[in-house]
Amino acid sequence: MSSVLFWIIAFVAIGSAFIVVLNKNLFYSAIALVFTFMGVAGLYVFLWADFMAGVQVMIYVGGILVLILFGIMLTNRISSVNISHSNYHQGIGAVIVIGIFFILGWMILETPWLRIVEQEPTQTVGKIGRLLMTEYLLPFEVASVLLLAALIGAAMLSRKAN
Amino acid sequence: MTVDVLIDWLANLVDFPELAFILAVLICAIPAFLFIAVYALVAIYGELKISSFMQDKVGPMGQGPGLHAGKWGLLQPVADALKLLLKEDIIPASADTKLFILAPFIVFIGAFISFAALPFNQNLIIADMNIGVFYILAVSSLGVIGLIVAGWSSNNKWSLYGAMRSSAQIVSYEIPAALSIVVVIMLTGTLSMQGIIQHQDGLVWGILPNWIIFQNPFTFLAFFVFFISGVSECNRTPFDIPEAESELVAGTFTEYSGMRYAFFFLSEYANMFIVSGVAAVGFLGGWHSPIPGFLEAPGWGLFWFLFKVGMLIFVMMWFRWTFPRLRVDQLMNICWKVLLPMALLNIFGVGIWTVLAGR
Amino acid sequence: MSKYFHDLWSAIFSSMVGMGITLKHMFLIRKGNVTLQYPEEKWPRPERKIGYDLKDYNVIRSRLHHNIDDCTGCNKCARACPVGCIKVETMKVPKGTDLGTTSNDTIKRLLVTRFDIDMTECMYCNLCTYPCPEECIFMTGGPNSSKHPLDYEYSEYDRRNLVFNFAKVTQEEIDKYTIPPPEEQQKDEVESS
Repeated sequence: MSSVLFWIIAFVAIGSAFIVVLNKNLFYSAIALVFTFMGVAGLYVFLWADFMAGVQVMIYVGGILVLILFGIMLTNRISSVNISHSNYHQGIGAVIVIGIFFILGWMILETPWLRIVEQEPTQTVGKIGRLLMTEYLLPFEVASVLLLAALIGAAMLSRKAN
Repeated sequence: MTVDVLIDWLANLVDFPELAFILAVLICAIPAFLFIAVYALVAIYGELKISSFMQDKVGPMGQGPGLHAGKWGLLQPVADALKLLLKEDIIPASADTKLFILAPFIVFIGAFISFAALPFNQNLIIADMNIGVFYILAVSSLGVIGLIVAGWSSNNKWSLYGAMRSSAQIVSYEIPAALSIVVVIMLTGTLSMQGIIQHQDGLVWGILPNWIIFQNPFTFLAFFVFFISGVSECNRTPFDIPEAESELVAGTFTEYSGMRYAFFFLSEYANMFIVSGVAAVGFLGGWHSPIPGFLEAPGWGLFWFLFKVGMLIFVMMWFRWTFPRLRVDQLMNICWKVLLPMALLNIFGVGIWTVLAGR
Repeated sequence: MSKYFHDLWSAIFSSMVGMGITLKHMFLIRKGNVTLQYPEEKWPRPERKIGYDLKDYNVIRSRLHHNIDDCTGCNKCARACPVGCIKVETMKVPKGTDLGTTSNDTIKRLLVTRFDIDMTECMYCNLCTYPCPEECIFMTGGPNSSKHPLDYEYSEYDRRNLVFNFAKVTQEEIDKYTIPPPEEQQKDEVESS
């Protein structure tokens, strides 16, 4: 069961990612990104990381993607439906991408992965919360301070000078 | 009835696990869809009647023979639904056809898949997930994308303004709503819907049921913060800036007609049910009876849940026919200057209260 | 800061007041209902006080009405009608048949088997009423208000109900007054001779 579903979800994620890159219309790319994010969330579910899947949907689809769509719609060419973008430097890009692809593939194949027994964790959220509050408290706090700084900065930038 | 039980049971009957999975999902999804459709008809009838009564009118009435909306206008929602289904499906010439067709379905899917985590009674829940509440909060943000796509693909300035406003509004109001749910999670220590409900068993303060809304003053406040944000997330009056008829023709839905408009309508009502359902589960004890130990059987659990949800939906309609629409800046003021500080205060207060009262 | 909380309180308070008002109206709907279920319920018609005597004021053309008891079947009204909304069919009766008299003491000579007025076509021109020798076709209301009550809201669920059939002749009467066809008469004559 899981293998068929996995391939469907992987196909959706990768196929929509191709649409994101190859489509000329910026808005279409952004919409295809929804399916990519949802596909990635599905892959998280396959790794029994249900909380991560929820976070993926909530933050990327509900937050970041809406911001991207806002950015597209707030451009001054909003009145024309065909907001398009073009691809430059395709040759160099292809070389770099293929290089990265091979390096990552080699890394995936060569790394001695730590394999654990397939067992469904009963509670993922509690563990994540406990780890964030004990072991990874400093990075957690640093990230929140960074976000607060970004928030204040955004408020300062958008404020009318008086 | 969780979908896992169905999958296991079907896997014993059918050899192919894929087939068992698809069958189990269909068995869960089709009744859910039918439930939404029937509920929407009832809610439309309720809205027609409640709105009329509040304005000293009698609403749809049929007394003559033939197709006259039946006794007391009971057939009026059916007639409305039939009219929407039979209307011509117009796609504007300058619209982006593919996205125009896709948008209502994205909006509806966002509302529909939230139903998977709503517990109707002790056993009747499609999937009792570990992250139930969080799942609902996450997938309900999918609807925003649909609204933006609808507004943009219509290629109409009113639609576009509506889409911008609705997305700004929903993204903003998600924050106080989520922060109010955090209060519930702090008290119950779980994200699972059934876990949250099971935590609200028994009595508190001697006579009141141990619902989270009654546990301390901050949760009482949190319920209202959540409910007001929820009403706003459903884009209902007084927060219906996105489809403000007097300013933006019909906002996002200006270019939509017939079946596609019906889907937007359906998802609005489904969203109302979800917000009310989450409020009922999180703050009002879900399927628990108001008098602990009285009428607690699974059948009565279904009744109590639907009763609470129905009451909350009635309050939403009551809001709609009482309050005038807010201006855009007032709307954002309420969210960022009133509801958000209050939600943060609630989290802080509940934390302090829990430490001091030890409960 | 105190203004903030004061605004908050006044917002909550005024919202509660408004919601109380709507709830009160909702539960007192039986008392405060303003809707009239129109075809079933009607407002009482007010007395006409327009400053004129009703007889002088021949403007009210509410509905074309026909008094079949006074009709002689002369067909003048149908010929006068510019839109042809009046359909009259008459039948000759055998000699010596007494069909009664009209209120003007005119002897009726024809049996009116059909007198239909299609009110969906009528344009209220009032032209049919002038040729009528018996004054049996008239617009209700105005000077004719003593003849027939004012009938201004003849609403119907079905359009076909707006075709008014005034003829009251039954099939038995038609059979009774039917003059036998001439062939039979000839036969009778042949046999008798």
